[in-house]
Formats: sequence, C-alpha cells, structure tokens
Amino acid sequence: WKRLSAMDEYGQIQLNAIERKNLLKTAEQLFKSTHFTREETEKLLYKYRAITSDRIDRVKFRDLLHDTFGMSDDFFMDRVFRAFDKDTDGYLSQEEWVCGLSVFLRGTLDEKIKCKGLRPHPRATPIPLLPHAVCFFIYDLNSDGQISREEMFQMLKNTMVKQPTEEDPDEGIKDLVEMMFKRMDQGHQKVTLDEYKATVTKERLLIEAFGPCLPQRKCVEEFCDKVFL
Amino acid sequence: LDSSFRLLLLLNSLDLKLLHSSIKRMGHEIRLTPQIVQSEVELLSKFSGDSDDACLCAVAFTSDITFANGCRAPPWRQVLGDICYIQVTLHDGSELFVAASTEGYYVIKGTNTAADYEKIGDIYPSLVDLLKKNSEHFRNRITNQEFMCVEVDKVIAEPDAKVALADRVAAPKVVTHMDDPAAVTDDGRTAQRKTPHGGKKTPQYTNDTSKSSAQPSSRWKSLGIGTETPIPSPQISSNTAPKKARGSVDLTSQISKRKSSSISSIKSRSRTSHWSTQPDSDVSDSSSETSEEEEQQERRPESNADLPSEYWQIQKLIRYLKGGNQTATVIALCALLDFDLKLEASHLAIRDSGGLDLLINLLETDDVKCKIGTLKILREISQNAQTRKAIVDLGGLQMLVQILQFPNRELKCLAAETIANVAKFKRSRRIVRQNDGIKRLVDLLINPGRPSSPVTGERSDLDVARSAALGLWSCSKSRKNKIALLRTGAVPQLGKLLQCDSDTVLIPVVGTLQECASEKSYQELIQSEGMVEHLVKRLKKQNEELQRHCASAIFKCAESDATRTLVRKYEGLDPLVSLLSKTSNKDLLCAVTGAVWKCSKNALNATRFKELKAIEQLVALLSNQPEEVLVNVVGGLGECAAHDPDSRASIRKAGGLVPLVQLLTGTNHSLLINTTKVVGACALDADSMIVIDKQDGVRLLWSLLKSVNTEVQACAAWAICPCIENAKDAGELVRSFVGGLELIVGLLKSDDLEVLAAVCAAIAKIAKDEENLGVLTDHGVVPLLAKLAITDSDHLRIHLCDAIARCCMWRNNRIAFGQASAVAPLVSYLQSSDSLVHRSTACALHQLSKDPGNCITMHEAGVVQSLLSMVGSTDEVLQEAAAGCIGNIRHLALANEKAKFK
Repeated sequence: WKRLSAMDEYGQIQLNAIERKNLLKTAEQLFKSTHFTREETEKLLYKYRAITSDRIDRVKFRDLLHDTFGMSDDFFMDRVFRAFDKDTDGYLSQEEWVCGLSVFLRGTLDEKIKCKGLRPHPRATPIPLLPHAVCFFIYDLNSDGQISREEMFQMLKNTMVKQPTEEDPDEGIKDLVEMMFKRMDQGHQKVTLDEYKATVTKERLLIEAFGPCLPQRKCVEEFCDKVFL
Repeated sequence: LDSSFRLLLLLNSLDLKLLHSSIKRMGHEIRLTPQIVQSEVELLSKFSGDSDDACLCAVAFTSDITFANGCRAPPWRQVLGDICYIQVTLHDGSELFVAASTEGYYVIKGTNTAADYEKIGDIYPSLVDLLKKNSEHFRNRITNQEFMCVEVDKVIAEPDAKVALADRVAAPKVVTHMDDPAAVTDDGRTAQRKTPHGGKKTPQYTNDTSKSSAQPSSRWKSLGIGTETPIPSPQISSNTAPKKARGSVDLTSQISKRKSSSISSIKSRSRTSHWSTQPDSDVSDSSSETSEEEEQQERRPESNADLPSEYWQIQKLIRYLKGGNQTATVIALCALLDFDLKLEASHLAIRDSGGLDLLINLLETDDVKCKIGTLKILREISQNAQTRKAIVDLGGLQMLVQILQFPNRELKCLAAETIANVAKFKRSRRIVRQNDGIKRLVDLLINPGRPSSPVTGERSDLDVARSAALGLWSCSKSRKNKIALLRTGAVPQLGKLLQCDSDTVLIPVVGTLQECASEKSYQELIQSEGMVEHLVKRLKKQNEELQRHCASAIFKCAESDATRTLVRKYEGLDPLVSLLSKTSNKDLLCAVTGAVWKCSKNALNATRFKELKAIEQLVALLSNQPEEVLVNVVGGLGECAAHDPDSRASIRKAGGLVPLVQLLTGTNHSLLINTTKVVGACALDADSMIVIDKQDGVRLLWSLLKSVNTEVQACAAWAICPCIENAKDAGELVRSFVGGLELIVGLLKSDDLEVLAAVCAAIAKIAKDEENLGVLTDHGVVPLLAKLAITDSDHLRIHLCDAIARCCMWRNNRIAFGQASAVAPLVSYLQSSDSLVHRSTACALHQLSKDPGNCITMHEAGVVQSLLSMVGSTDEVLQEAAAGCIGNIRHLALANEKAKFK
C-alpha cells in the first residue's frame, strides 16, 4: 500500500532544492547514453523517487514488472532484475534504472539481445548500452556466456502441460530444447551470444525464445503515456 | 526389397486375373442411358475435326429431335431398346452408322429403311471401344493421346484437355459400376488409368498437374501391366490395397491424398478432373472436396506407415501448440515455419490434427508474437486451395479482417497478405467485403499506422502499402468488390502509389488497377487522376510482370479516346511496340497486343504505329500464338488498316493477308469479328484484294454469314462489301457461291439491326451486277426489303435505301416495291436529321419515281416539299436525285393534264 500511495502522489512529489538539483544533474549525465530525452530522463528519475525514497530493491522492481509490464513469471522477473542490476548489489541505482528502461522501452533489436552494459567499471565513461544481451544475459543462467541444454531445459520445463499418460512427461520439453538447439547451435553444444543474435536476426519472433523477459508492447505504451505526459 | 517387389507384382496379377474372369461375365449387363450416350458423343465431338491430330472427322446424331425421355430414335425403334443413332465419319472418310441401344453400341447400315437397322458385328459397351475396333486411326490417336500425357516432362499442347478426355471417358462408365456394384465391365480398362493411382503407390502424385499425373502411369506400365489388362473396379482395388501396401513399404511410402481423392472422385461420380486442380486454381467443386476429406479419414489407419516423416513432425508440433504456453507456442510456430509448408503432406498434417482450428484460435490470443507467428504460417499455407477453403470454413477470414484494424503494423501487413492469398475464390471475397475488409485494407493503404516495434520486425510505409495492395488486388477480382473499393475513394491513393519506384509495390498496385479497369468508372478515374502517365512510364521498366499489368491497364482504359491520346502524348506507343517482340511471355504479349489494339483506334496513334513499324511486328505475331493474343493482334491490324491506306499495303507486303484469311476458318467469335474487319479493310486496297481473292477469302467471308453470332454475321457482311466492289469480275465470283445469294437474302429476316444494315449494304453492292440482281429478285429480295422500310434506325435507312435504289433497276421491281408499300415510309426518311439518309433516300425515291404509281404515292405522302428544299442542297448527288424525282412526278402530272384535255 505504501508503494501505491507513492504512485498516487506522483507528480506532486515535493523535492527540496538540493534534491531537485541533484536529480537534474543526474539526468543531464545520463540521457546521452540512453534513448530518452533530457526531459524524459528527468521524469523517469521522478518516477524512481516516487517508487522509493531510497533505492529500488528486488521486491519493488518485481512488483513494478508485475503490475505495470504485465509479467508474471517469478523466475524471469528475477532474471530481469539481474539484468538491470549491473553491479549486482541487489539494488537498482538511478543510473541502472534509466539505462535498463532505455533498453526495456525503446531498445532496438540489437540492444534487446545485448543489454547488460559491458562497462569494465561503473564509474568509467558510460558507453551506450552495447555488449551483452538483455535476453541472452537473462537466459544465461550461470553467466558463463553460453546457454547450455540444461539451462534451456530449466527455462522451458514449465512451458507445456504435462501429459501424465506419456511414458516420459518431459519428452515434449526435451524435444523443444532439441529444436532450439538445432536452430541456434553451430557445433559446440552451447549457444553463444553471437549464435543467439544470428538466430534472432533471422527470426525476430525468437527474441524471447526461452521465456517472457520483455514487456508487452501495450504495457510499454501505457507506462510511457503515464510517465512522460 | 527386390523379392518383396516381385511378390507384390505376383499378387497383383493374380488379383487382376481373378477379377478379369468375373468382369467378362458381368460386362454384358451394361445398360446405356440417353445421358451417357449424349455425354460420350459430346466428348468425342470435341476431339473430332479435319486435322490429323483429331481422332475422327465428325460425330453427330442422325436426328435432331429429342423425345421427352431423352431418346432420339423413332418410337417404333425405342420399343426395341434403341436410344439413338450416331453418324461417325472416320478419318479415312468412310461413314459409320452406330446404334446406341440399352444393351450397348453396335454398327448398323443406316437409318433409311427398316432393313438398315440390322445389327452388324458385336455389341460394345462404349462408343470409344466400338470405334477402336473399327478404326485403326482412332485407336492410334486414343492410345497416343494417353501416352502423351503419360510421358514425363514432355510439354503437351493441351494436357488438361487430354487428361480430361481420359477422365471423362471413364466417368460415364463408372456410373454403371455404381448402379450395380458387382457389374464391372470391359471398359474398366479405361478406368484403369485411374485405379492404379487409387489402389497403389503414388509417391509424387500430389498437386502438380501434368507431370505428376504422368509419372505413376508410366511406372505402372513399366511394371508390366499393360493397357490391355482389365483392372478391377475401384472398390475392389481399394480393398486389396492394404495387402499390397504391407508388402512393399518403400514403394508405398506415401499414399497421400491423391489416392483417396481419385477413389472418391469415382465414388462421387464427379466429372471434374482432379488432374487439373492446380495449387492456385480454384475448383469450385466443394462436394468432391468434402467427400475427399471423408475418404481420408477412412483411409488413414491403413496408410499411416506411408506418410512422410514431416507429417508426423508437424503433427507433433501442433500438439505442442495445443499444450504449450506462449514460449512453447512461439518455438513450435517457428519450427513449423521451417517446414516446407507447400508440401501436400504438410497441409494434410495441419488439417488432420485440427491444426487449422488451433491456428485460427491463436489469432485471438493477446500475445503479439504468437499472433505474428500464426499469421506467418497462415500466409504460407493459404497458398493451397483446399487449405484456404478450410480457413474460410472455420471463420478465419473474419478474424483476419479484424486484425487489419490492430495497431501493430506487422500484424496488419501479415493479415493483409494472408487475405490476399485466401481471397482467391468468390465466397471468400464476399466475406471480406461483408466484413468491411475492403475499407480496412484501404485504411491500411492510406495510413500505415505507427512505426513497427523492433521486436516484431520493421516494415517501411511502402511495405505496408504493398501488403494492402496485395490484399486489394485479390479482392478486386469480383465486381462488387470493385464497386466497394471505388466507394472508399481509394483510387487516387493507388494513383499516388504509382509514383513510387519499387517494383514489388508497383506490381500489386498496378495489378489492382488493371483488375478494376474493367469497370467504366475506374477507366474514367484512371484517366482523370493522371495515372496514364505513370502506367506508361512503368512500361519502360524492365520487369515483365509489371509491364504486363501496365499494358493490361492501358488495354482496358484505352476504350476512351482521351486515354488513347494521353498514351501517345506520354510516348507510350514506343515501349508498347518494342514489347511486341517479347514473344515468349504469352501473358505479357496478350496484354501488350491488347493495348496496341485499343490504342490504334485513334487515327493519330495508328499513324504513329505505322512509323514504328508495328504492323510488320503484328503480322509476324499472326502465327504460333494463342487465340487471346491473336484476337488482339488482328484487332490492332484491323484498326490500323481501317485508318490508313498505307497500312493495308504494309500488311500485304509483310505477308499478313494469307494467315489472316486462314484465320477466317476459325471458331472464336471475337477473333472472327476482328479478322473480318481487317480483311474488309484490306479489301479496299486493290492489290490486297487480288491476294484475298486468290486465298478464296470472299468465299470464307461468305460462309461466315452462316455463323450463329450476329456480330460475326454483320462483320462478315460489311467485309464482303469492299470485296465485291474491288474484286475483278465480282459478279461471276458471287454467282460461283452455290446458294450464296439465297443465304444473303435470307439474312434480311434477321432481328439484328447491324446485320440488316450490313446485309443491305452488301446487297446494294451485289445488285450492281444485272444477273445477280435477277437472282436476288427471284429469291424475293423485294418484299423483304420493303418489310424493312418501317424502321427508325438511320444507319439501316441509309443502306436500305441504297439497296432499294439498286434493286429498282431490275424489270418491274419498282412496281413491286410500290405494291409492297415501301414507298410511303421512305418519304418519311426525308424528315431525318442525317444528311446521308437524305442522300440515299433521294436516290431511292428517284429510282422509284420512274413508276407512275409510286409517284402518286409519293405525292400523296407529301414528298414534293421536302424534295424541293433538297434541290438546294450542296450535295450534288442529293440535288440531282431530288430534282430527278420531282421531274418524274412533274412529268406524270403533265401527262395526266394532257390526257384530261384530250
């Protein structure tokens, strides 16, 4: 209920002068490395403040994903949080928030596959969100830069109604895994980022191949309308 | 493998032998009906003619009278079971009288005396069999034709027709199987062409027409089961099928739909040729289709092993679609897209497993990716005729039309493209219209919507327009849709799209335009919206399909003279002429020659064509082209020749007259109309007339007067006029046609104004020859002309008066016209507003006034006043005739007065 009241107060959030000044400064720094304008960045930062007065934690972010972006799979919501949380400290900083949303809301195909900004150091010059793929990162469960059969199975295991009558209820899942492997893998029994990218470029439908991890178009629009207008 | 194959053969031949023996006994139980005879004779008459290729010279019933029960034999013979008598002229010229009785066909001597009905030789179950026995040539042709279809990869002139022959030859007899399931006749031999497909393996026997229909047959033959071996009836063969199938797994790898369909086609007595069912052609024969489906379900269990692995994989994927969440669904959809969805087996698999229902249900999900994937699949599979029918049956088309309204660009485009595929038959086009689909497609065309999201693929505005145009193109094939499209006011938008430069967009846009251009309102719009310029510009693009549609649009729009002028103004004539050299692409050629024809109706265009040496090119096209092209080519030549005397000489010099005159022997009405026009126009040229005469062209024209088509009659009569005028010794020429004059006089009884006018004109020319005039009079031309005198048509009046004026020259014809009361109506012609009518009427009156009785009638009708004013006309002929007529009347009056005072 606390979050909700914060949402309601959005727009009337009163920041003191210093806070406002800081916010504008952050926006100024951030917007160039995103798909947002300065004003939009400011509004996103206001939104950030509306959600929490501190930093956004996992639970708050998951609530947001669920309520605003229509995602429902806990597993993947967790993975999305991880993709946003570049320094893996369990919280989203303002910067992570804006950069993540930039991909989430406005990302081009390239960025949607690669997301987690490969920045050697958080304080280095921000490079526009390049290497690593959001989706790939999300699907690469053990973060070894490759998606293995086991990872695929893990992600797909709940995608089908199990037929108890069949000898092996997982047969269908295994089959799906095999199909995806055949499609993506080029010979080393693991799917790399490049292979993943090649597949998705060929067939865009497969960008969320192993589970929902991107917001629905409709939700994106609603969110943008609400925040930016 | 080899041994199992041999075993199969052995089993098969044993089957055949057993059945053969029983067939022979039962074969005699055949009973013909009038319908069967009728259809068989009709069929054979299609394959008869004078040429060497034909099976027979002619085949016809001896009597035209059909009794209520369908028989043609006289009642006293019907009692004996006779149905009708058929006169067959064999290829060597001998004639054969065949009696068709309920027991079968047999040869008789003739139909003149009772003794002639005596049976000669055996009774045959079918006319084809009888003829095979009686004519070597017929047997060879029939066998050859079958084998022409059988030979793989050999391009045959009319494979469909020949396959249809075999199919239809079989069909009537199959009816007898059905009436008595046990009765299997000798003619099972003909059905044999079908039964092997029905009972046996047909691996590639799926959807391709001539090629695939050929392969199994030749293989069948190579198995050593010749054409002479009788074959069990379809029912029996389908019972034996499983046994064989188990015997040879590799050969029976794929008993696909064809198998069941050929059986079902027999069972459903459908005469539609399944071989002609091309993937893209729509056979509106849903009944045979449904029986096909039923048949499949029956057959499925036993043919399971023979389906390709794709079949099972697709079925498996569809199961995943059913049981999966969105992630699994997308994966399965993408996997499905990887399959070759054009394969028959894929369609079967999708339809059998209820996949089509599922896909259509998926259109209702919220998940965009699922929807897109589904649409992509539907777009592919809707290229198959049966599948698109199934989509429509399941209500998928309505869903597709709904999706056109969605905000997502990719979705809209895919839906439009799918609609383009589905709306290939009438019912679907109606559904699109009734669900407001035309309007939505137009909306899509005008407003491509917001830019697409990166996830679902990027499409440019132009791409969206292309999809919409594709949809509209398919829909615009029915007339009501054209009107609906017109009402949406989208035509100018199409015109705007014409300015873009991408061929892929232009083709559907121009395709839609040319499809719609058959409507008058579109023609006007295309002209007024300035689209002609763009159409002409696109003619120069090096894309044959685009060129074809452009030319076709010009063809249809150039009905109006303004458009023709525009085409010239934008220099469209040059590319048209240069396209005439593309003789290999018949569709393109047809459209281009059509455009040339319509454009040449403008005199200036005709001159330009002459400068571009189009006539020589057109003449070169007179040989080896299909009729559709010929009609246009000849039409174009006709217009050029009509406008320009030089063109006539060009046609002659290019050697066009000989093929043109030969075309007069054809049967295509529009071709005949155009040909008579050219020949008529060329006959104005004296040198050309000599050639025409040499080729016996006048006789051919004359025989066209017998045509059933009034337009052909009229055109032939018009063409005869200049021929007679320019031919040397025309009188003798006309007299040499036995019954020719009687024929032309008889045409005066026609109801068609144009025919009457043309015939009157011809009679006026013929009557220049004294002797012929005499013959005409003997045939009663005078009363017939007199009867026509009461007419409102100025056109007819002109030529009628000419004819009357000419006919007056013969003995007492003048008096006869007077007696037939033709004079008074002629006087009323002088009130007409047409000066040409005045002229010829005055001439006729002048001639008629040489008879005092007519003078009195004329005077009473008040002719003098009108004539007096015409004496002052600037037209000398009219002046003279009017004055002469008044003079004659005056003479009579004077003589009368003189007589009074004596």
